[in-house]
Amino acid sequence: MLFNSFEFAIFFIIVFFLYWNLPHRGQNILLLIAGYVFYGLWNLKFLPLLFLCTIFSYVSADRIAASSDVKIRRYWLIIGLVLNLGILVVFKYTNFFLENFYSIFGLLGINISKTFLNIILPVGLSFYTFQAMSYSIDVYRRVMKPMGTFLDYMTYLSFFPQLVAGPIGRAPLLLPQFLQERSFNQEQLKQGLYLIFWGLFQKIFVADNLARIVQPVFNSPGAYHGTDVLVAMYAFTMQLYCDFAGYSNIARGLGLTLGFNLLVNFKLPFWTTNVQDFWNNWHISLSSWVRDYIYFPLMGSLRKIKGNARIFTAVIFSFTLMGLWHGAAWNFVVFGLYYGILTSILILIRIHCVNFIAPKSKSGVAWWYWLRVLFMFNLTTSAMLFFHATSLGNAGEMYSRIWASSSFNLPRWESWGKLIGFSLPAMLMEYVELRTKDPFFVLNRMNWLPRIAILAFLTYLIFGWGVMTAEEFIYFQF
Amino acid sequence: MRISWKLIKTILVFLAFLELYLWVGTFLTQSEQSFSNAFQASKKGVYRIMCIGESLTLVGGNDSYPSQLEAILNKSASDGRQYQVLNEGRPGATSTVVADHLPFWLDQYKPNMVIVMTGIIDNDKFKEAQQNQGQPLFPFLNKIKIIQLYQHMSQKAVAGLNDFTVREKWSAPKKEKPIIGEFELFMKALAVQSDEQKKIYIYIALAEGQKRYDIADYLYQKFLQNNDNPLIEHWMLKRYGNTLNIMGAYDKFVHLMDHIDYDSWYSNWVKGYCTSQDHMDYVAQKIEKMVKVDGVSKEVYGWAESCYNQGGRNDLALVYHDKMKLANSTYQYPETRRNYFKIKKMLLDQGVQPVFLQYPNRDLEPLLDIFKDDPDKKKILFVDNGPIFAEGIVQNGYDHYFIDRMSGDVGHATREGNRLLASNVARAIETYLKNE
Repeated sequence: MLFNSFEFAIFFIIVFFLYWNLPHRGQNILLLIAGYVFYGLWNLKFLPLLFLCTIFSYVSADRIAASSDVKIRRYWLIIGLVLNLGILVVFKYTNFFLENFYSIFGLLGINISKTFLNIILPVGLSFYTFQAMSYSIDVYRRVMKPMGTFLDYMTYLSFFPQLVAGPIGRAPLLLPQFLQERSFNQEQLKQGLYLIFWGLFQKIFVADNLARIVQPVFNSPGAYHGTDVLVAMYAFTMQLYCDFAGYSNIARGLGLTLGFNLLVNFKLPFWTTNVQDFWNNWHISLSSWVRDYIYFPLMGSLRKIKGNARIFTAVIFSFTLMGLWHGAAWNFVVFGLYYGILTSILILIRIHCVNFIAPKSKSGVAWWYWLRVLFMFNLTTSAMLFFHATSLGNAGEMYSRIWASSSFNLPRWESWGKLIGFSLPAMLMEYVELRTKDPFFVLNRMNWLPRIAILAFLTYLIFGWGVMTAEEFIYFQF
Repeated sequence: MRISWKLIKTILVFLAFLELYLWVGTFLTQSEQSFSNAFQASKKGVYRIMCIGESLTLVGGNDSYPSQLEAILNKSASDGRQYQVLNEGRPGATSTVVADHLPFWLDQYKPNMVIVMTGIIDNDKFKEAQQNQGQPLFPFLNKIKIIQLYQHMSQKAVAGLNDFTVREKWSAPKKEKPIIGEFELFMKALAVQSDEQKKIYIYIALAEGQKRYDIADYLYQKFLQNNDNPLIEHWMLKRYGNTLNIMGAYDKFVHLMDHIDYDSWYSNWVKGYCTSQDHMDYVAQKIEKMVKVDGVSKEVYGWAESCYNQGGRNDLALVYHDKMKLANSTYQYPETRRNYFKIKKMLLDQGVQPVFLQYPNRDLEPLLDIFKDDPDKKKILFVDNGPIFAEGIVQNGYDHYFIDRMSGDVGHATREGNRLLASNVARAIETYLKNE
């Protein structure tokens, strides 16, 4: 069931009305059932995986907390991590390793028959295994104590708004919300519905329309002129953002209507001016996960390396792993490396030429900001090419298409117009949020008439121009 | 929640705004085409060509033949002349529909040249149904855009599988008569059926969506038992046949073949069915009977050909291929002939150069035959796509150039097919313009 489908709407309405007519215990049981039904509808065979993952992390956290001996605690942590990572590696990376293993043999001139396992990646696996691992680690680090019963924990890990594509929840923040009584709050419901509406707008109007510009070009870049390829690349960056941010907003909105506060996954990432800020605002639940559970420990264990080399190693390694999290393919490795290197360069610039050229006057500051935003957007677009390309070769073909003189032509009014037309309304809304620093400005603080005019306009765009066949969200594949 | 005056006010203002946007949006989308043409036309020396026809002209986006034609002409233009090629192919449009719309298009686009390729789906089947459409009870309600939108969305929810975009429906230019497709006629007919029947229809769509063809099969039978509307029967039998073909349920399928009249879906069915000599002969026998009873031979001989092709009997396939060629070269619907005349007259009256294309893979002869006694014959540019496609198909096979066998010997073209067509047309146009 996709969030943007008719079936889901019915499913959610049923859950919603039952939910608010039940006592606290009943609510949790309902959520558990809803979560497993929701996940089971993708594929029944995936359900045992979710269950195993729940058991592994719950038992390991439980054992860790039960002991005060560091050795035993570490032993149980490692068991928990290995088992959970094991599921992820087997289902996600087996064929990737096999393929590279075979090609190494091929390079050495040894011919072996290639066999691949017939594995499908269960939807959402990368998200809930990470969420489960963070629980064991947090208990190990004494950030929190194990909370609630096994049933509560099962409910927490199978919470359907965030089950298949995040935001990757953190137990200290989210698990207590399952144990508390939740009361119906009209303000929260309003905000939740607004977020769902806004997420659907991002998905149905922006992302799915842009997909129609993007897909043909990525499928056969050779057939298009350089500027068309460029438009497709920009369009994809925008598409990916609105697709995933839209999903996250819907997830958060669903959470709010049920009385839960999920992590904010995107905070206006395109309005940031450097790589570091970008990753602090883009897919926050993943980037903060990597920061807390990979980057910081790595910095700790690399203490012996002197100077900046330590930071660079940790940064590049963390980003590469994060790239690989997105999928088992070399283009994701390049994607991660690219950001690792960019961040290292940024650190170098910070150390050696702090504010060397930054202007001081008021107007100077303004254009300097817009210039950097524009530059950052182009850097992002270059990265997203590797993100979406089917292979490294495909990415290379796209790049060479842009620069090849033979493929140069004047910008086509039509495709640029579409790119701008489909992204502008969303970006204007974001600009309002940027200036007012309030995601609910339009809903709460704007005057009555313009507010309704804007909401009606967005509704018009969704129904009049949106893509009305339920399209899958891009992040489901990770 | 208490229903307050404020809430009602909010909803009403919201709907008023929505209605306003829908009107403005409709107006703008209508103007979009003319605006972009005006934008193009402001450039001097642009030679504007308009292609009209049905889905064979329209389909393919950048791969469609008009798009490729524009690229080819502009690439080889030596005198610095700029070409603009407009695609006005309308899916499901018969030659009557094309001829009816032509004055509007001419007025809107003011082309220098019009390329016509039409007539392939002409038949008399839906004419009657088109004329017998009832009037709605409150006609003014249908003017309200929100209601149109609501109707459209609910129809979409019902139809489920059939993908229409909203835009296509409510932004059709005002001056035009709406083009009534087969599906819309069917939906209109279904709307007055009993609730039971409508329900079964939805269940069928759902079952097919879930690929549960066994359930769909049962439901089809139930639906057809209770049905007495020939239009609905025609549509449902088509779909039923398709489903049976997917299931490979050929025993039921043969039974169905006895009951249905000819239609383009047939070509897809025979592909799956013609696996043994018995089956092939059965199809051939059916087809011969059809020719005798209905008097149509154009498409059905093509199905016999693909049937024998499928079964590996190339000798017999060739026999039917020749039969089909002969049938195509001798028969044109009277309606098609009349419409070609109409189109020619309109174009020449406005000083627009007519270019008449014969469909790829067909002889030019029947097209020439329409104008054989016409004094204006010399003013028309005819393009013969027969030999070049025949040669290509011998070399690369039919599937290299065509996606389907919509009309027996012709179907929707692939990118390669459209490229071949476009380059052939471009050559003819260039020669013509040079001589002028």
